[in-house]
Formats: sequence, structure tokens, C-alpha cells
Amino acid sequence: MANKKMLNGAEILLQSLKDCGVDTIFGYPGGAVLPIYDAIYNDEHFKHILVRHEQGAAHAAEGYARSTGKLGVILVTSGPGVTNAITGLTDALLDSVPVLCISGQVPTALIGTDAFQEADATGLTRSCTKHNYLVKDVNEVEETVKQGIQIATTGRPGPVLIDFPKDIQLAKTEYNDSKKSYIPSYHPKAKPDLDKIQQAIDLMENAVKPVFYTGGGIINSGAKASKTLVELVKATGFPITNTLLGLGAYPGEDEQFLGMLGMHGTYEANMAMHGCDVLINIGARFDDRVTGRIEAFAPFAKKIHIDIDQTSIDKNIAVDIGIIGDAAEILLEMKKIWDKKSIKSQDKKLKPWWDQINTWREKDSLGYIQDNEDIKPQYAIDRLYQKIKEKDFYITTEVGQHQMWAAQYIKFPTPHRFMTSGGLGTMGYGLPAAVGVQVAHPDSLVIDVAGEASIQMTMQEISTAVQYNLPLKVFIINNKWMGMVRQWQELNHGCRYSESYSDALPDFVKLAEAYGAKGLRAEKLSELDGVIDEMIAHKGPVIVDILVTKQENCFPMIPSGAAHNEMILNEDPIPETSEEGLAKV
Amino acid sequence: MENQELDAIEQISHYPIPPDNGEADTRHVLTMLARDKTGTLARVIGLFSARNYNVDSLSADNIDVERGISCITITTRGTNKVIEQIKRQLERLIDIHCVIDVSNSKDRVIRELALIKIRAKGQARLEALTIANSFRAHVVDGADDTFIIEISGAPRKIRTLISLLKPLGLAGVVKTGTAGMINSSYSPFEEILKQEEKS
Repeated sequence: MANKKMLNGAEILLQSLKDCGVDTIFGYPGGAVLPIYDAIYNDEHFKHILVRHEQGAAHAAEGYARSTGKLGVILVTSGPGVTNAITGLTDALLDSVPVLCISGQVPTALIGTDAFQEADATGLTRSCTKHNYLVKDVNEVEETVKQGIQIATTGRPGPVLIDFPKDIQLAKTEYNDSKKSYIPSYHPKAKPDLDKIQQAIDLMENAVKPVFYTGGGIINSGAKASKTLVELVKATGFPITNTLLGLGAYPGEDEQFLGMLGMHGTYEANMAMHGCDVLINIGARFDDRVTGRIEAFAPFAKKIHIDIDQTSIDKNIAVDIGIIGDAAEILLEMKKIWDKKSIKSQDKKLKPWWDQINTWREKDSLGYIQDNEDIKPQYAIDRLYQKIKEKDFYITTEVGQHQMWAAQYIKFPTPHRFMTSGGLGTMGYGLPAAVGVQVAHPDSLVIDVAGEASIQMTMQEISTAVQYNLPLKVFIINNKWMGMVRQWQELNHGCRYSESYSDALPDFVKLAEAYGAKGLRAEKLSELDGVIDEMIAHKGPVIVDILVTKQENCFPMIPSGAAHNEMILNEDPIPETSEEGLAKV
Repeated sequence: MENQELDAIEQISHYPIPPDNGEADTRHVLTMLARDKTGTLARVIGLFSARNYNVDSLSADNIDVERGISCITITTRGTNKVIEQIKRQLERLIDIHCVIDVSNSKDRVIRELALIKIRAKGQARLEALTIANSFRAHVVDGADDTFIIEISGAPRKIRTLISLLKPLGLAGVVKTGTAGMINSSYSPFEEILKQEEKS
């Protein structure tokens, strides 16, 4: 059409994003993206959140995406802008989070000349994105953006990067408003094999010691998947355990829920995995933190594995039935067959299995003793949960002991409530992720359960929270150690504590105040509840410094090279720390 | 490494070591049809290096310029489990249409082309030419003391010829890499064309 308006590449980018339903961008400006920032300046539609470091933008987009199920979008400049974002993109790849990263690039004619702030963005991110693009023609901008969003959000979700040279941002063309993006070689949605679903149901019907083991794939598949999962678990009467990323897909307080499994999973979950005769894995990937020693993993079980990604099946653990497809679709089919077969109540058949599980539960593997005025970290998180459980809450975490305690003691009623870095294990994830979650849910209670070491990796994002008046709370479990490193040094390296103690730490209360947030501290047990109450009541961002006992280990634990039935529990003796081991502390 | 040593590493490393079931590696020729886009080959090769797979031979070229389809052939080694994982990983790449394991079929044709330069005079030259002739290789260029022969055939035939020519003055070898195809009624290339027409 002759009267179509000419737009520049930057405007076309924004129009394409708008057409795909994007309204929030996490970013940081710089030379190579100034035309895009100029276009945003004139566009009321977008809410742009200015972070303090590009890694923060990526994690914020992850938090936004994981708490909503929508795409998270980041905008960074060339060179250091994109290299800073790489940790976040890799994190999103490992945890299957839909993220679109738009990076500026030097003008096309300068690519390859080592120009100022030039970095080979597509080369650098090839192995940490699901797909990436370098746009070389303004007429390709719209199609590329729409394809990129399609790739990021369909199939197994993941990060996509679009590298956008500055001259293309300024070149002009017409906007086509094309509705359909078609990639001939991309087939994200496999039709599940109905025969295999039938076989799976047959195995389940005859199982006497079954267990569901479900992961983040349920949450990524959407609300229908979680809902159908709950229905199927209820209909079968089977026990269920969740992976770290799968927490919330099944209600955490339900009696059929065994808690999280894996290296720091509950005794009952791991023993059930070891003893089961039929294992139904839906949307989890047999990660090494879950399997422990491979030969000894669920040795008596027929294994069913349902995953949308064909590479997950038979990668780490060989399975008996592998079904490729979307969790919601397959769960609906399973539920349909189960109902149609009018399978009679499994209660009697399953009773010995549940009796066994209940004796494992009696071990109370998450038990701890809070016996004096020093705050136990487990107790601090337990109290936090007790005080927020009736509220509309979201939890993010950093990485380490506090992360595992949060996963153990906080029960999630619904999906999308728990944002944590599982696959990559990125210290510094929690605070920026909380920024993204709070932007998506401005009226909810968003808490980053943090450690004093992790939080310092992306501390600067508290400034973002203050700028946008995001009332997020940073709940620091402060033991002055990199607790998980210390724990492994204790258990695996002869108690030689090499470089795991932080002899200097900021005063987190003063730091909060310096940033314009509120700072609180609890040093003694008697102060804990009051501080949590005050934190929740405060309308703005808060940093809470909880000084906890220093030597606490995270239990239960599957030690190195061990199987699920060889867990270390809290009551087991641990080695004495020698003078020599502390010599450098 | 001895089993005990591996156990000790597993004890400390906190990563489970996949069990070794004693299965030997086999060689496979994998042919991919791919979208002819910037970086497609880099993605394929990057996948092999990132996941610790072997590339023994590689060839790539455009086979349909108009539709932008290229063919990449890689010869690799691994246990059946590893080969299956390689196939799935490759198929997961956005720009890959399909992966065909040519080695799995009885009706396979696997060929290479090599250019071989010989530096020889007199008796050695005669002998080289006789050997080349018996392999149905032919001379494509000649000079005073060197000449180039061209041969195509199964990789093993070419390896044999090269080893026979070695003592007679082998001065250089260039190979195209493996090309493989299955002679069956199913043709993935036709499938792709059909699919593209439909949409």
C-alpha cells in the first residue's frame, strides 16, 4: 500500500514487540541501542525498567517470565552490554525460561573491525541461547522479532538473542503487520504417542509402589498442566515429589506430597524414589542433583518419562517408556484413559506403600533443634513461611544453603510462586529476579531469600527497586560463610576451609539506608518475629539481615557418589573441625 | 582409569559418573538437511565441541539455492546411546530439518572424493600411475615432476590408495569429506519440499 507509514528499524522492533503482547522491558542504554531508546522515549506503551547491570536485566526478565508464564524481554547495548547479559541468558537456557534479548551492535559496515564496544554477540551466545539472530536488513526486523518470540515461547522455552546493528535501527521501511511467523524446520509440538500413553497407564494401574516425580515442565506447560496433574495424582492416590524447579506444580501442603527430592530432598521423597516399582517423570530431566549415583538410581522401577524435549529422554537415565510432547496434553490424555478404565480404588493395594512412606516420614528429616538465643537458619525460614503463608507471596532465592532451606521449608500452593536458579546455580539471581517478579505483581509480597555472599553479586539492583518503588524484601540468612562451599569442604575436603569465609561484610542495614531502602536486623531469637513483621508491614523495599548460627549444615543430603537410600541426616555425626582447617579463616 | 580411581573421583566430585557398560564406539555417517542460514554450520559444529562429541569428517554445501536448503554430512563415533543423543540434539537445532543416520541402512551409498598430488619421476612415477589406474583414479593435471590424480569412492578405498602411494612420493592430499545417501523410496528432501509447498 502506498500510504503505509515508513518506520525505522527501532520503531519496527517496538511495533513487533507490541504486536506480540510485550509491554515491559528490562534494559540498560548504551551507544549501540540509542535509536531504540529514542523510539521508547516517544512510546507510552512500554514500561521500561532501568536496571543497574545487564545481568540484573536478564534475571529480572527471568523473574518476570517465570512468575507470569509470559515472555521476558531485555534490551542491552553492544559489547559489554551483551557480555554482561550472558550469565542471565545461560541461566534461562538451563532452566527453560522464555526470554528475548535485544542487543545493540555496531553498524554493519564496522562488524569485524574491532570497533568500539564491538563483541561477536551471536558467536558468544550461540551455546547459551535456544537460537539467535544477527539482523542484516531492516526488512527482516519484523519477521526476525516475531520468529524469535515464537521460538522463545514454544516447545521447551528458552532464551533467544537478536543482535541489532545500529544502522539497521536507523534504516527505514514499511511495517507489514504480518500475523504468522513460519519456520519450516522448527516443529516444537510433537503429537504424543497414544499407544505409549496407554502402556504407561497399564504400568501405573498395576504398580504397587508408584511415585510421581515432576519438574519445571509442568509449570512451563501452563495452568492446565498443574490442574490436571493434581487431578491425576488425586485419582490415582499415588505419592508425588517435585524437583526444585517443579515446586508449586502440586500443592506443597497436600498429604500426598512428599516434598522435594534430590541432593537436599526429604528422606521420604528420596526413599520412595529408591524403593518405587513405577516411576512417572513428567517434565523433569533426571538432573545429576536428583539422580545421585546413576547405577543405583530407582533400581527396581519401570520408568516412564514424559518431556517436550526429545533430547531429555534417555540422556541421563535410560527409561522404559519415553513420551515426547506437551505435559498438559499428555496429562489430560492420561486422566481420560484412567477415568475411562474405571480403575477401582487403589487405596487397598497402595496401603503397604503408604505405610512404608509414613515410617520414612517419621524420621522427620527436616527436623532441627532451635534451643537457644542463636537463630538457626532453618528456624528463620520456617518463621518467615509461617508469617507469609496466608498472603499472596512470591519467593526468589540466591544460590546455596539458604536456597535449599527455602525449598525445604516454604510450601508453595500454586505454580509460578518460586523463582530460583536451578540448572546453572547462579549466585546473584534472586534480587534481580525479585525485581522482575514485583514489576509483574506490584501488589504481592515478593521476598528474595538470600545469603550474605550471593546478595553481594548483584546487590546494586536494590537501587532499581528503590527507583520504581518496588516493595520487595531481601531476607538475608547471614552466617558469614559461603555456607554450601563450607559444607562441602567439611564433608569432602577434610574441613580445610579454603577461601569460603567472608572476613569483611557490609553493614546491610546501613547499606539499605544508603540506597534509600529500609534496613532491619535480627541478632537474637527474640528479635526474629518482630523483624519479620516489620519487614512485611513496610510499604517499600527492605533488606533484612538475619544473623544465624554459623556452622549449620544443610540436611538431609545425598553425599557424593551415593544413592538415594544413603542419605546423611541431621542426627548423623559430622567430622570435627580441626585448628588446621581454620588456619586461614 | 581403573574402577577404583573412578569411584574415588566420584566420591569427591559430587557429580555422578555415567556407568560404562563396555559397549564399543561405532562410526556413523549423519546427513542433515538444514536451512541455509548464517551460522547454521557453526551451530552444528559448536554442538559437537560443546557436548564432547567427535567429528571425523565434515562436508557441507548448498543443495537447493532457490529454497535455501543445504546438506551437512558429519562422520562421528560413539556408542548407540551417544549417536542417538547426537541425532536428537541436532534435530533440536532450529535450522535443522532432519538428520539421517546413513550408516544404519543396508542400502547406503557412502562416497568421498580426493585429489592426490604425487612427486615422482621414472620408475616411481610409472608405478604410481599403474596403482592409480587400478583404483580407477585418473590424472587431472600434470607438471614436470608432479601430477594430480582424482579419485572418488568409499572412504576405505581412498585410504588404501593413499597408503599405497605414500612410499612413491605422496606430496599432498585434499579430500571433500564424506557424502552419504540411502537408496530407499523415502526421501527426506522431497518431504521438505512438500511441507514447504503446503504452507
